[in-house]
Amino acid sequence: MVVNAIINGSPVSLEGREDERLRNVLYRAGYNTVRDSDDSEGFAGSDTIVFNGKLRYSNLIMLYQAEGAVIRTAESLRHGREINDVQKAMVKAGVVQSAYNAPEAALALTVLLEKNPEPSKEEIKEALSGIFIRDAGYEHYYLAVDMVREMREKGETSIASGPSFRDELRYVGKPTGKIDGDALVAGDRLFVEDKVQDHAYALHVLRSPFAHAYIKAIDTSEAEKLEGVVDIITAFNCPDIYYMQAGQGYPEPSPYDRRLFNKKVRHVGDRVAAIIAKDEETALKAASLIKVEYDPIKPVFTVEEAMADGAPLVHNGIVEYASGAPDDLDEYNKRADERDGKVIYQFPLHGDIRKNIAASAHGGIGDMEKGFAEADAIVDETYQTSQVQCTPLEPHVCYAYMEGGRLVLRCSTQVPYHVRRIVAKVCDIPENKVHVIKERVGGGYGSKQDILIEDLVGYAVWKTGVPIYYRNTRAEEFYANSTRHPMRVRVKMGGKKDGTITAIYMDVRANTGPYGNHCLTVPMNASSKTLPIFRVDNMYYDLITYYTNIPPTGAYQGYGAPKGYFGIISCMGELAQKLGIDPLEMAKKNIVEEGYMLEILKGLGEGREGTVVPVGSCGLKEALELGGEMIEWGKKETSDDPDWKIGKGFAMIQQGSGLPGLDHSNAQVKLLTDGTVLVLSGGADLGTGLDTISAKVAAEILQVPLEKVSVVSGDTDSCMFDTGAYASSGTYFSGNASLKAAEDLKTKMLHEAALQMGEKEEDLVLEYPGKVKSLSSGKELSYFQLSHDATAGDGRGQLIGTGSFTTPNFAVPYGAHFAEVAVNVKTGEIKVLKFYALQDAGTPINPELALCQMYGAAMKSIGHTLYEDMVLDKDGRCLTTDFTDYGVPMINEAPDDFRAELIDINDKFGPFGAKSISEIACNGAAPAIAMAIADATGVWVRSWPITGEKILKGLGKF
Amino acid sequence: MRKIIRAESIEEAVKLRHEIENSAYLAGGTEVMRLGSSVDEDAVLIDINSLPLSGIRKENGKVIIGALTTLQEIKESDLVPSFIREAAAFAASLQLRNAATIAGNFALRRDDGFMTAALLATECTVTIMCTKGKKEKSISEYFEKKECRAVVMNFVIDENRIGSIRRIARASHMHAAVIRAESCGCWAYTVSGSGIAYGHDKDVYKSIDFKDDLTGSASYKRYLASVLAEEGESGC
Repeated sequence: MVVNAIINGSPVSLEGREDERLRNVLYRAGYNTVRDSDDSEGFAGSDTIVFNGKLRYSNLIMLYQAEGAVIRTAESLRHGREINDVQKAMVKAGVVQSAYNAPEAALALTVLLEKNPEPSKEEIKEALSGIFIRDAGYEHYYLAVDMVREMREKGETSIASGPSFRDELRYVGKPTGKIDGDALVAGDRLFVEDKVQDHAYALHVLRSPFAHAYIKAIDTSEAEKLEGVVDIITAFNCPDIYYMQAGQGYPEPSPYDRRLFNKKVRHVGDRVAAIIAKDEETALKAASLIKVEYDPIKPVFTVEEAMADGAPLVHNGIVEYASGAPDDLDEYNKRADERDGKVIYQFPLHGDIRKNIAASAHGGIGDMEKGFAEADAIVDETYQTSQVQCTPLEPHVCYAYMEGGRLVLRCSTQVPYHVRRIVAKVCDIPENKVHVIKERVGGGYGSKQDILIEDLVGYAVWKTGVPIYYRNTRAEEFYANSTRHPMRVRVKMGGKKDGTITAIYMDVRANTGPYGNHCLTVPMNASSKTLPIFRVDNMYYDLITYYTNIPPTGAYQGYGAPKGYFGIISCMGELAQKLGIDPLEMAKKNIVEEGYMLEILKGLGEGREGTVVPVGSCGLKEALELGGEMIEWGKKETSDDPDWKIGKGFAMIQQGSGLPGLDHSNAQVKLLTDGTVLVLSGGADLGTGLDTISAKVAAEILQVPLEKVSVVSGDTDSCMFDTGAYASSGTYFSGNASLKAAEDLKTKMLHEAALQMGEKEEDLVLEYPGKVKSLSSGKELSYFQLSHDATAGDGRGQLIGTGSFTTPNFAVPYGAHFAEVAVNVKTGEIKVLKFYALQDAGTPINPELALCQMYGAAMKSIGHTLYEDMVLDKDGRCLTTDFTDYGVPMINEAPDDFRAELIDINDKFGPFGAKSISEIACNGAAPAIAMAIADATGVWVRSWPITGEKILKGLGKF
Repeated sequence: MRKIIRAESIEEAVKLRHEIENSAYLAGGTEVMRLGSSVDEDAVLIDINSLPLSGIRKENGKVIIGALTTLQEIKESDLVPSFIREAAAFAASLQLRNAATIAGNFALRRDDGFMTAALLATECTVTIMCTKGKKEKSISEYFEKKECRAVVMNFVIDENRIGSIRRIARASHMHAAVIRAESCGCWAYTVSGSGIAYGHDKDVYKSIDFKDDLTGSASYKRYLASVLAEEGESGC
């Protein structure tokens, strides 16, 4: 049908099915800001429009209902190339990051301010109540509204979106806004879905209804007869190539334990068949015609079930080693079942699949027996974390096609070069045949570190030759994606009455689910990012990861650290309580300081030998002290309502900045012919502002205005190799590569200028805003002239700088998070009243983005602590496949008083002193909130999520 | 493709609903259109949005809330008793409140429904249109007739009705474990995955068969209901 409506002030005819969701019609008609994050759940707000004057979800409106309607989309906010003041304020405030629904947030606030120029905090909350923000938190939205108010009143705003650092620098350490912020908040066509051509084919994955079963047979004959079906790929016709989906540096510390399709399914939702068809409807119909004969096996879901004697084996195939095979491997493999396929270790991870063990590690320092013998008190408790999901607003999505005999993949990924390598492997083709283009990423948080769909889409396109667009449903994001490894963390800690910790033992049992993505490194992180924060002589860890039949796990922001910190800080709090001392004083007494030699790292090297290094720049003590002052540590708070009890808690935290010795970044910086600058960065900006970091670094080194620097990144054809955006590596590794490339270009520019100017190279300097100046003669040469002459017919060639960054040096961010929590001891209701995140990020290159990432990560972590939970039924079927049931935090869950503070520390190795920022912010909420709840109620809840029900049980209420 | 019929009158809507076995009314659409809707995908939709059934007015000591009045309109209306407004505010977002209607919400009879509990506690009157014409029924009578095919026209509430509502949920957007509404001695409980109970005995929740679900265990929810039952009465 054709519907006539007024859209953004103009009459428009919309065409589609009468009952079609208006969102789909609007997007098709070119209103691409109207996106979809929730498959019509009516939750995340990416589909928000103004419909006859009211904010509505366009997914919940049918096309025919738009007849005669007056509709406004976020496209209306921009006039020409000029974004409106709300959008400008959002960019300035730093909330425009991955930005998948940033235009809708701008629309909601614009409408609010039109109706109510002076909205209260509650009114802003209401306006944003239907917009889910995962990356930047909600705090700076209030700031953005304040900025708009002031701009409207005074014509400009003096409100700073963050502090400034390093007075001597022009851009680094200053809140300038993201260089792509305007385009993102305006809703430009920047995401994968925006690149899809009309003729793209659909791919549908038929998934297993069983958690654990052999596939005896698949009959696809009826489905293949269906008109429009191009191909069906199953375990019986896919390549016999083993690989794994974790985007880690090669050779990976994860086993190759899967093919595209396996003859054994290992979780509900595991791949059974892929149908490539002319459209989604045909693919779905074909899927319904496929007959699969399963032979179900008893599944195992928990670590306890997996480690039990006689437990069903999730993998019982042939084990191979690329290197380091044990002598008894042939004997070991005699018990293999060929239907299980293979598990190929790139090097020994100390797994034993006949016991469901995917990997293990053990090690420590000192004398544990002596350490515990010296203790006046010992606490030995077990802490359990749950399975939680990254929930990026943009689900996993890939558009791939053939072009000039090469496979092109447009991806939403954190690791374009790992995508290229793994897709090439699966297709059995060389890497030069694969071109990966990282588009803007609508949220990653680790889940897009893994190659979860690109392997299949890439192979399907290579095999069939047809272009394919694939997008996970929101439900698939939960049960067929990657999630945080659930972990059982036993911590035994001993301490003296004076607060000295004498020994720490960690027994980490991780649940990797059906495949071994990150199976060694995530649990290792639970110790490698926690134990080194303690200045304790006796520490030991046992890490064992088990295969089970839960939905897959993988990388998630914070990696193993949030789980380790929940255990180790909770245990420290319990020990302090047992000793009758203040836990904050105990923390201060036992933390590391700059120069302390970290012997514990020797065994914690991601499967290789770790490097013992001293603690570098460290703002930990300052964070603990400032946080203690801010929250008035030691002062007991009371409520007027006797049912509400208030308590305080904290956690000291650390993370890393990439993986020294493993990560590798490259960049090029080109001087263009008019003297402007183009940075080609291998780094994958996933919305965090990495491109802005590259641009700022180049602008500082080359002394040019920021707007004269553009960045292209994450394109495997045009940019040089980078291991990717994970492990908090972006700023430190990719940023340093850009810095080195800019310095290389600077050297070349000075050399060329000396020749052009007839001056000595050592007399020349670069001067803002883009000229070479001789300190001896005073002569000047513009970058335009420099580049023009260099590229002229008799020139010496374009000026290009190249930078490669690897390092053995660590740039570790530290911090402390403090929480004040109220608990209703009758109903179990929990309110986070205050949350203060204090972090040492070295020099924060983008301070406003850094603050928002701290808010966003802390919110995520508050969600994991209190609300979020993937629940499986007895057969392993996920019951929480939408946002409501799963329980992500929205604006109403944000703490009443929420502050992020950057501790000013200048790091020796980071670019301009910078360290990483956002991952570490996932580590503090769970232990800080658990400690605050214990302070309020006396109940230590030792499992995620911390619910009212668990507290009430602890209080003996029922 | 879904069949949709736009009703021209209330009478026509009722007639269609009776004539078409597998049919449903379409009001705000937040249930019909949402992922995982309880409405059969093949059901014929009878769109009643153009019917004159929205708006809030005061008349002869009564507040009359039209069936198609949105939850946001209720939340913002000074005419509506405050605990009903509070109940409307429990709908998760502005976008949903701008679409969801009072009658649509109540008609779902959800066992975690905030408007269900609030309206049952008001002991209000419901004006409906059925095949035999317009009728007024007590809210309880309408509520118990689960397969009612009548069009709800409005809810008629005493203007002085006071009360309270409590909702216990882990987060603002998550389903509530227990909701308790009380108004002038009438208590109504909705308990997720378990059931709905209402009446003049505050312990009426005991008639519910409490069950475990995602919001919590049966024993937790039974305990919560018992705690909420002890919280103060409105005293009108």
